[in-house]
Amino acid sequence: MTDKMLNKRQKDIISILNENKNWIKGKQLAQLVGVSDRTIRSDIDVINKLYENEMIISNMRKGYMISQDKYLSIHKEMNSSIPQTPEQRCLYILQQLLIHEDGLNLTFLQEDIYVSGYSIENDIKRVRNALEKYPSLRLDRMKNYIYLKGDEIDKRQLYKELLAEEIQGNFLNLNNLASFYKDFDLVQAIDILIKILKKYHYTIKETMFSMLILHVGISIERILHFKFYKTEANESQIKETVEYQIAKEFYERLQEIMHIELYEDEVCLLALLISNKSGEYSPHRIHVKEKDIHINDMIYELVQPIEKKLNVEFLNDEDFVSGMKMHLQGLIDRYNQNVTADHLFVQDIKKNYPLVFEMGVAVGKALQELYDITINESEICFIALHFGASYERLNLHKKLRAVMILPYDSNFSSLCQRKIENIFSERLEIIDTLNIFEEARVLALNPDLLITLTPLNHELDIMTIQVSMFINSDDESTIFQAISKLEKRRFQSKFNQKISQLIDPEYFYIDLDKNTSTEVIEYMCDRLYEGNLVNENFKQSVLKREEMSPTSFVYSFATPHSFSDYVYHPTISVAILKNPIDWGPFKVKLVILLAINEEDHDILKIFFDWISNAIGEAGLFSELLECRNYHDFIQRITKK
Amino acid sequence: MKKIYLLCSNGMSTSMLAAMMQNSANQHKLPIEIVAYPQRELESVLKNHSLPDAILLGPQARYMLKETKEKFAYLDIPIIMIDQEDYGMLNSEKVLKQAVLAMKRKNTDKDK
Repeated sequence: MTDKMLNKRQKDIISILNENKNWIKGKQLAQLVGVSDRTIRSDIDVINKLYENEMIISNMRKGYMISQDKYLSIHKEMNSSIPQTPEQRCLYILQQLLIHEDGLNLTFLQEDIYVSGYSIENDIKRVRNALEKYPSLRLDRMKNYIYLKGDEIDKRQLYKELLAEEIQGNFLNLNNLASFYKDFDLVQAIDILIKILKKYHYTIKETMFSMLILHVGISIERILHFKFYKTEANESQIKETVEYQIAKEFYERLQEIMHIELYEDEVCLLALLISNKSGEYSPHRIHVKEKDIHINDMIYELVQPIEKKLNVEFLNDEDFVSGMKMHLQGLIDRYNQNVTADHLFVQDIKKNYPLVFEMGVAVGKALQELYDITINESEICFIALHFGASYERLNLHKKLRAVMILPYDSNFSSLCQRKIENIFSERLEIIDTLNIFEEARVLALNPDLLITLTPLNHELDIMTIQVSMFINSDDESTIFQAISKLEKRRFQSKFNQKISQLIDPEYFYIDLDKNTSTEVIEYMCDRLYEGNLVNENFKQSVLKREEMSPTSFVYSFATPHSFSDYVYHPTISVAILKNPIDWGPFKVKLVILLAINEEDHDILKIFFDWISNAIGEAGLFSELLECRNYHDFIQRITKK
Repeated sequence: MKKIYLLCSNGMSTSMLAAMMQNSANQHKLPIEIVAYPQRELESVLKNHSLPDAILLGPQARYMLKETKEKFAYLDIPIIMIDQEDYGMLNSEKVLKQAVLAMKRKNTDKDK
């Protein structure tokens, strides 16, 4: 639905009515726009017909008024996807240039982003500037078309940079994923699912969880629109499994809050999804157009060209592969039974994540060419989401990028650079060296870190460190500390999100009144057990561990934990005791009971790192002990 | 860069001390990285990352000392226990010094 079908005058009318928010007489409107009453009347007819919802109300006496609600509901979806600022337009044009290798038609481009001929010229200038950092890339213009020309390598570099920006934090984030679905609250649904998983003591590997969310979202969306289909998975053996129980209960709970029908097949399908996420049951062959195809082969054929183009190893990402397997299975089933997926915010995804969307398009094209299967844009979007999530995961492990400012001549400088590269090869790459600091060039390179041999003053917001030419022990430590800081920063938002998930407010106690460490441990463990977060062995294990060697520290806190994985649902239970009690050789006021598994160790590392810094900064840690509520506590830990 | 691994059964008990030791090392500008791991992960860690220069065991992991020494003897690095008192008191400086001295001694032994 696009108002491309309205002419300028009609768009102006909408604009005026919207600004005015009140009744305007037809005559006034006609005067403002410079046409006759008659024309106004027919324009408003056209507008209302286009949107099919009587957006403009008419009254004999009062004239015309726009219904705010209806206006907003239509424009919500559209406005968010139109690039508004020059920077956004520049970005948009760059993306489109990459996507349309055979050129961009300027007229269509103009219409697409609602600008005048004048603005487009400015935008093109901007784009040319943006391309300056890629020596071989340039914008060519022929008649009414613009083209991106240059070396493949530079094009790929540009592509990757734009892609990284596009994806950043958007595809593994539940809240953002939820925004792709219009017709239900995905966050609420996943909440329900998590509670049920807890109840059945069923753990899903954290990294697979995002894939599961994607699929659950797709399934619910489909069911809401009655697009059921039969699946080959409806076998009795599935019904015996705990995954089936979970799926059944999940849909039953969903029925309480959404108007969905329940079908056996859907339950089985979800059960299959869940168990597949645990890697237990994998379909190997699927039936497509009278042929049996090995699904691994299919994935390889569809994804490999994209891998090659981007130089990104999607097929090494287990979660991506299992997610795609599941998805293709569903897609083929839907295709075979003529059921379409629909109702995603397709326009939103297309406009905001065009590069990711293109990956979906590429798969769509391949499906067409290799298997003669045509899919619609919604299906393409779903496939694109898988790529987005995978790319984001892969990006999290990227090396930090550094630029060196080396004012000396060849021999020494390359030795210096080489030494750093050798020592920190795992975590750092030096993307360029400059003889002098040039603000524009550095900005264009956009490094995470600047390493300089001589003192440097600049105004850029880039971490800068100074080292000596010989990279001595001091220098190593300096570089190491900078890398640690930068890596922590990258992780910060993930940490903030996870730590507040792990530290459950339900198991956070203030003024806990107990007399011995055993009493405290027993109380806290019992409560976790009651909540079904740990099994019956957990408490004993924690006590035993404590017996072997107290987990208390001189700074008034203790970190009791168990030996093994008796944990169903990772949690950190915190207690601030009413009075400090004797705990091993120390007095303890803050108790941090760790009921977590190995996968959450990175989070722990950062948490302890925080405590370690807090201890160093006199007041900080003791303030923590004085926290009066959960939010205060979390806020302190997630600050900085 | 030197690497020190702190081991215990779960990787949790020694995390706190590892964080404090890292702080101390940074303050003294020593290019040393200190990381805590659960003992059972050590083998796979060794496969994926560079080798450590010393291994320290948390006080509650005393029962593992012999086994660890035998298993990782091929690394030819100091494998030592962290004192219970130092652990509780979070004497990161002291433990760090202990480890650094042990590493130095091992190096001079090798040169001989």
